[in-house]
Amino acid sequence: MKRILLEAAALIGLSLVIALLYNAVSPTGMRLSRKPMPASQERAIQSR
Amino acid sequence: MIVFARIIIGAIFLISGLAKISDPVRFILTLREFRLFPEEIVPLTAVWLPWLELLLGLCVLAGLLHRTAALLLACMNAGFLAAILSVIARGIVVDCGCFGMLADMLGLPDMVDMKAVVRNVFFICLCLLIFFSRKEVLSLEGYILRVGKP
Repeated sequence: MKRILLEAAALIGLSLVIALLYNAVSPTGMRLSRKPMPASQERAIQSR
Repeated sequence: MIVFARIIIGAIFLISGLAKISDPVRFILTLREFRLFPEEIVPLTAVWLPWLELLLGLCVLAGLLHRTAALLLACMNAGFLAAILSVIARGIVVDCGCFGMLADMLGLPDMVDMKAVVRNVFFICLCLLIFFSRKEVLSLEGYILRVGKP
């Protein structure tokens, strides 16, 4: 049980790290720490 | 049987994760339409969830930590199921967003309906089957354990 919890925590942590790193370097990456903007504005920024 | 279940679950979540990673804005819009999460955590969820799917799919397919990955996928699918049931109960008509842009490319229906519920229940059953199985057939973990033995 303890082993499964540790493995689950490792998988969740690894995926979070990979996601944040990819988001930081990807051209389609998003800014995660800002006030939400309307979906249309977000789409316009992404299409630039 | 277990290998077959692993291939199905692994491939589905690998493809689903890749499809969502390639179009994150669409996934954000889908999450917003579900009206379940606070707006502040929607972008982080949209960035993180596809990578979790991809990683867990890879683990199940390769047979590395596959029992834990299958358990996490079962929990994740239970969450998806709850979200789908909540949307159906509230009468909101939205795209499921399960396969991102892939559904458009292949012309597959991707709406939130009872088919999505049945599909999720099927996935949960397969994941639990993998989790409770003790067989180490065609798995990287089994291979590493065999090689490690003197």
